[in-house]
Amino acid sequence: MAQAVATLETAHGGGESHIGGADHSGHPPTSTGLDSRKIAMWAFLASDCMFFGSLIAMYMIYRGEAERLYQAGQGIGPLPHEILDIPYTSISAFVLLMSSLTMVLALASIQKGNVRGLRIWLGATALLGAVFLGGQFFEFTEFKHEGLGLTTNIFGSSFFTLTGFHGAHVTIGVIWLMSLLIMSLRGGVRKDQALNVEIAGLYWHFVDIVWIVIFTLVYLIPYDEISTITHEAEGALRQIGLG
Amino acid sequence: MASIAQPQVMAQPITKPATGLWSWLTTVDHKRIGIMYGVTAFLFLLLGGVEALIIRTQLARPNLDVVSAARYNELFTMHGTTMIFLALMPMSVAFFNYVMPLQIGARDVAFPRLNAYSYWIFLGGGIILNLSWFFHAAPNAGWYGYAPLTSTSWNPGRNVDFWLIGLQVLGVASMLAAFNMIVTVINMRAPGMTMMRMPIFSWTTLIVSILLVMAFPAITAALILLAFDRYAGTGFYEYAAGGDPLLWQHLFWVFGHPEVYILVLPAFGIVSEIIPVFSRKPLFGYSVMVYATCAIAFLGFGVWAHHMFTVGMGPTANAVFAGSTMLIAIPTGVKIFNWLGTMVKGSLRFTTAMLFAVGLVSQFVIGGLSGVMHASPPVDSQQNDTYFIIAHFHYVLFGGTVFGLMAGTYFWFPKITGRLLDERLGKWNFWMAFVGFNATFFPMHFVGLAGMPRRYFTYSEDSGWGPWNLFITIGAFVLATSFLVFIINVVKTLRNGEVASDDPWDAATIEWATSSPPPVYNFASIPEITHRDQLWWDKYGDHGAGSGVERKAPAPKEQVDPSSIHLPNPSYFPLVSAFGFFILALGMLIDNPVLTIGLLHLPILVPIGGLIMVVAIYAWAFEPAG
Amino acid sequence: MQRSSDRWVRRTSARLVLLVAALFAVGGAILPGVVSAQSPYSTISPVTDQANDINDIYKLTFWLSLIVFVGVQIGIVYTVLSYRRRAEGERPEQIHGNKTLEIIWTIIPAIILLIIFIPTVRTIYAHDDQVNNPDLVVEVYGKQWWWEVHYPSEDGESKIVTANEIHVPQGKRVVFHLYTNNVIHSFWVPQLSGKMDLIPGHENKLAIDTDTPGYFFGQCAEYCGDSHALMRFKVIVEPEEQFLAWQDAWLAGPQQASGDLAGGDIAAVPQSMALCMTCHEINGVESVAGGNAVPDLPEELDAARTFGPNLSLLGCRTTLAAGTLRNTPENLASWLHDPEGIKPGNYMGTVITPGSLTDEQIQEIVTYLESLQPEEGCGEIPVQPGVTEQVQVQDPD
Repeated sequence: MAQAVATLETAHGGGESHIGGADHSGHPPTSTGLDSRKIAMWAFLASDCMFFGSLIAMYMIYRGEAERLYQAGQGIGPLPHEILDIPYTSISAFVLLMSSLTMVLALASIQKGNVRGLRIWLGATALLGAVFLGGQFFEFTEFKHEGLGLTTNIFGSSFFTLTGFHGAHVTIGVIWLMSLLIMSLRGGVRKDQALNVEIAGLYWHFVDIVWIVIFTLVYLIPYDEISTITHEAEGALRQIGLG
Repeated sequence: MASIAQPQVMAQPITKPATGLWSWLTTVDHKRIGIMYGVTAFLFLLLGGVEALIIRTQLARPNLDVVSAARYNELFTMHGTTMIFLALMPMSVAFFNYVMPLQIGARDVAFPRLNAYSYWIFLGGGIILNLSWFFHAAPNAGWYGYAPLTSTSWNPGRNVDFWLIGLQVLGVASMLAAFNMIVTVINMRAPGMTMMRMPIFSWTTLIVSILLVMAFPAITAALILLAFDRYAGTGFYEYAAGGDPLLWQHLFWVFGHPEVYILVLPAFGIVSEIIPVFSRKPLFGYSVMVYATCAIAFLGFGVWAHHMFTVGMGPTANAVFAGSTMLIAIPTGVKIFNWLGTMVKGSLRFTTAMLFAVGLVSQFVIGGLSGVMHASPPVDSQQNDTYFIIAHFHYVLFGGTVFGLMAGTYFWFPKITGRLLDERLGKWNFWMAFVGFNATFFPMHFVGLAGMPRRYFTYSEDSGWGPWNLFITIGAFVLATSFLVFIINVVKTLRNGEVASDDPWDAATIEWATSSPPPVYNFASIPEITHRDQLWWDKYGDHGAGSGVERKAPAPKEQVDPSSIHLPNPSYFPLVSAFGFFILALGMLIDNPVLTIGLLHLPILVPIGGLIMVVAIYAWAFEPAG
Repeated sequence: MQRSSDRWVRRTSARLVLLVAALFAVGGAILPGVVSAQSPYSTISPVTDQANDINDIYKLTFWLSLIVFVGVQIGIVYTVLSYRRRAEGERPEQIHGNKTLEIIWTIIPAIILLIIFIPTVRTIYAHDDQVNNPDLVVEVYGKQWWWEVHYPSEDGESKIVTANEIHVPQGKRVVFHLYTNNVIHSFWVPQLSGKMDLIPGHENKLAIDTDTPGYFFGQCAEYCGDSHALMRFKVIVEPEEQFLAWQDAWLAGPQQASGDLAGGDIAAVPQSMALCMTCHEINGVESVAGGNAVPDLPEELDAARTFGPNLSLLGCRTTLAAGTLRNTPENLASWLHDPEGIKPGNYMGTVITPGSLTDEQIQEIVTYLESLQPEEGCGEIPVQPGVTEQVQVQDPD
């Protein structure tokens, strides 16, 4: 998946010239009038929705499962309500949201031909993205210290997988923005190539929106502290006892 | 008719196609890539066929010992995986690649180098899956690999790893190809070709590609979780760790059921092109056919749990999914009747292509009807995982998909090669396939009703399944022989087959307006579209019955100097990058030194392959594309 | 003249083809009925209410399908024969569609589907409800590749554990509770009801009303690894008094005849069975004659794998190795000689390979195990009317 992302992005963001691109003189206009790379990015984002949809569905199915096992005496902590730090993550979520704003400003700059503005805001966006990633790295390290690893319990597995894949998307986004910045510094991104920035922006906003969903579902919705052994837990116990 | 392509100075003259191995390795021409997809997929089809024949030999009599149980389990797993991911899907993609851009009047697909990249990745994935044989670790958990049989505790070898890495690679290839097709159909149509003037096969290409990009992420996610379970020791599918094996089934079938339509809709599209041509009538209810295709695709995402009627989902879920599954029969039925409606009052000519197309209509009905039977959960509780199901989906995937793809091959072969396949051999091919197919798969309904479960490497004398199984095995060899006839036909035709004219079938869509085979640039001047079935309109107009209008010569077009047409340059970066991806994937499967960076332990081939891949992509991004 | 004879030929051949098509269709209707109903695993020879309900819906779908099938095929054949191209320049009328027709063939299938859907939903809910009113609960545990059967009791002490042959009383509603601690299996006795999967972490239930006495043949229906094909079992429906007698015999433990083989102690097994007893249990047996030396088992055998079938009353079982072999002393001896050769992948084969047990040991074990019967013998098991006892037999070599 990550490979697919990387491929599309670099291929298009890097400005693959192609048949039908509206920005190339000499080509016939496209059927929709839109640039093909932009449509491809929309198709990719639709696809990526299904990818995150699957991972989020997985997380929601297993939400509360670690508590249940713990109560049944078969699981080990840490459990989500003991370890998730909502204020801390709220700040990093805010940082990521702000990066959407700077992304908009970057695009607006280059559309007006303001190369300097583009560089500043691209740099700012990449920086905010990097801050978010730093925050995530610190959060993961902290969790590791508190005893929650990828394989500790089902909460650790589903948490690190979901947020980790989001982090991977952000990482690719930051690399992409840096590539654009470097291209710009070498004089490569002009006003008529604003589309390169726009497509990167589409991706970047998508990644932000996904984070809003993840932040809500993983952090904000309170975790039930199940105190009684459920019927299913009894069943599971018996099966293991018979194992 | 005004030319749309603007004359322009060219980097290199393209009046003659380049030749030689290097030109194929670096090609970005959608027609060549289509041919490569087709040939590769056909080779994999033969491989999957040989696997099927070994399976059938083992089952010819009770208690046979042709192969061991373990080998048998590898064979049926690889037969299913090969046929679905390495034969039928890429063969459909071959037609998407070759035919669709011609049908919509494009010079190439939207992203030609990405197109080449998709092919090379696909090839890498196919090689990875089959390399497993040489490591004595062929996948052995069935093509839908139900957890926890795929876990390290119940399947400790490399078998499942080959399967999951191979599928992951193939998934990337399929999705990249699908993005390309979507954009091409949406954005590269010739002037005047509105969506509702578009040939139905191009419509199918669009819908199937949308299905692909929406369905594959589910299996991608499922395989990632499986990889974590196997490589990192998580417990996503391990109930003792709080996971649930049913999550795999849900994620897999959210992909797996749309996958069925990914496999069969291209064949429907092909047949929807062929039947009108050989009936000399337009497709009956074109817009309804388009809507039916969309409806099938849409409903296809809401029926996945009908593969899980026996897992104990509860009565409500079973009833709901039974209902949604039955709904799908309606648009499918509409298609069948519309094909019939196209033929009625037509002027039917039974070329081999038409025979295969009508064969699809008649045989798919059987698969559709048996599908309605086990859409009912109680009936499914008797038929699920038996040979009745095997019969059902082979009527869908062979009687449907393979017949459709064969029809397409006979139909477009003259366009692709400039030579007409031999019709006499073609008829032998069809009738042997038809008889062999029915002899193989119809009795499977009976053994299924007699209670024979699928994936049994042997069965007892007393089960009473012996006689039909022998019959089925004989049928399978007849069916295999029909492919031999096909191969002979192709070889013979390529050597000295009848030379095809530009429009040998008196067809309706514009791929027949250009030469056979088409020039590198497809059309000297991009045709202007004013009607659905543009070529037919150009030739005859929309005249009434029996008007006896003679075939007119197409209106002369303004000639464009071919050397002025702008085409993308060949590139070897897609091949290099795909090679890097291949190495990366291989690093996960074969023994190689481990590199430790902090907490990360990586087999050395993984970063090496990744580096090659990424560097090549960057190089390609900055390479002048032409 | 020439033309009319052409037409005659065409019509006659059309009729011939139609006739063949009709024969094919009728044959298709009758053949499965005749052939498939013969198998002991037949899905269309129901003997319980549940299997009957299912079969009724199947028959409904079958006849509706047959009507549609014949209709469509006749339509195709008729069209193909009637509208062949007769002249090269023929130009049929260009018909683009017909709204009325298209609406009709959208609605008719919808009606047919509704006819199937209504009894489907009714049956789904009815069958789901039945699992809540059991006369007898039987717990079935899927193993690789055999079935463990538990009869839970009120006191929890006298719980009966057996394998691969499920005794149930006649005239009762028996509800199977299905579990597995390894991979997914599927519990399927076609004549009694549809299949139901065994899934780790889930409890599935399946109800049957045992009206007809006899042997009913079951098998695993979900691919579960190497010997998936050799995971057969039987449900034995017997009159209630006979079922109770079987329960009593199981609870009573080995008889004196068996005790004599173990040096006179009925709570012990012969010395050669020390290895067996690390994985297997026999009700009423606590020790091995001459000491309980427990051999080391291979490391890959964890708890989920070492658990072998309970061997109580083995002398009364009709088959061995989950329906792979008929239960005879010779077959039992060849099983003990080389389990892997008879049943690929089974875990007993990781401990016992040819040569692990001497011929004398094998002979001793066979004699002992076959002696595990009630004093009065195993009793006649009523045979299902019309179907003679069909035991799955495989020649060990």
